Amino acid sequence: MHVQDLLPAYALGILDAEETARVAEHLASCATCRAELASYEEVVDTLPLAAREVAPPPHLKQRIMQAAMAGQAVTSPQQTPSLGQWLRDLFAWRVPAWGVAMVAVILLLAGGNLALWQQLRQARTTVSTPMRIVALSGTETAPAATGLLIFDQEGFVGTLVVDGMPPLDHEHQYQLWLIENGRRDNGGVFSVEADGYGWLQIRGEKPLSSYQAFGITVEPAGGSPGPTGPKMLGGEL
Amino acid sequence: MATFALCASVAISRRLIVPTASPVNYRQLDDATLMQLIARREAGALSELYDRYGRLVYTVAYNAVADSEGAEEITQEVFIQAWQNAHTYRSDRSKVATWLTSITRYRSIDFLRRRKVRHHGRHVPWDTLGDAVHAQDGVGETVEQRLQQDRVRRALGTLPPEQQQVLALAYFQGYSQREIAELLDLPLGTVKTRVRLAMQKLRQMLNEG
Repeated sequence: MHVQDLLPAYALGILDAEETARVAEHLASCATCRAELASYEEVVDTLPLAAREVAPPPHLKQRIMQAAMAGQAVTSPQQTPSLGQWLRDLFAWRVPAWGVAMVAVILLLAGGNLALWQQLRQARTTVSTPMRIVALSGTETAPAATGLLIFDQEGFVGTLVVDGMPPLDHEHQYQLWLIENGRRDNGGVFSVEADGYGWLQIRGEKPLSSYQAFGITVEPAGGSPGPTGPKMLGGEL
Repeated sequence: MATFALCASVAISRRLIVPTASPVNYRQLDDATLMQLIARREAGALSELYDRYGRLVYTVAYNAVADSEGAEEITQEVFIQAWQNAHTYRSDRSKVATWLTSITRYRSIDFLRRRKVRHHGRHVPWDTLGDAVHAQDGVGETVEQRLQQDRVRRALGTLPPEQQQVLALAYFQGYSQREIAELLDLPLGTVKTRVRLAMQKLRQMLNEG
């Protein structure tokens, strides 16, 4: 069989080892066949679009997000930037030469503070606790609404992302409540876009993981001291 | 002084640790930008990537392993790989959907080989379209993807069932032509011909648009 006839199966990765080697060797020296192969690879790339669709279970997203955040914590020591990496990052940001020189001068001046840098690195490594994710689900008032609250285990700061929330008029906003033993602390107010998507950066007065539950209600624009409007989303830690 | 240093270190380290939540509506970003943000560890970007392609990835995995537990495991592996290796993605080489489905396909085939489980193989997991039908709710996120999905489904629908079957065994389960021949009790030459004719026809139809 001519090599050209093997290209469709090669693109699918279903030739046996001997044939694969033969095609690969030929491709190295034949531009025509390389172009032909590329056209079959495009076909292979489109095949998944024709697969009979199956919806993933609703809990899968949260599981994946949790695994990703947990993995991040595990690998975080590798992400701790060394002084050299920090400088390389500066270059990557295309900081002009004088900027780098300034940094060098500052570093020289701050030579005595190298210990502080080490302390920073250490602090960062030791605070590599897992990220927590709380899935928020819509109430009867907003059954299509979903949300995720993401924060560091010991952090006071987190991010809320919501989707499928009904857009509100200008006189109203959504308000997040941080709930502990029946007390509701203000977590911040936010609006959503026309497509129901919104986000909020949260700064708690204490670690967000110390709260037991989270809720989102509709409130007058700017927020209320306590919840007054209908609850749209809720979730427990 | 020590207190100041401690406060400063805690403040700065917190700034470094907490994922930066830039005022970005991830949904409005194109795929390549989303991948860049994932490489910068923005959880919201990963969340959006899943919203766009979770269904596609799960669909490919499920059709390969025919088991919801296995499909979940593979889907999770794929998105974790995307999270950890987003910096290796090159938008000039492939689309994000292609990148993800390639990873899914190889992980699924690997899963099947590891488990030493292969399916009967007679199930044909293609969703083909007749001339009068259009996909209303496909895995494609954009209009362009939906059109492409329509095209490929329509093209597959023109293939004889036996060609659809060998393609399914090859694509989803990674069977070699020789294995397909054994499985279906066919001469190897017949399988090779079916694969070749199917791919040639699909290429021709997809190029015609």
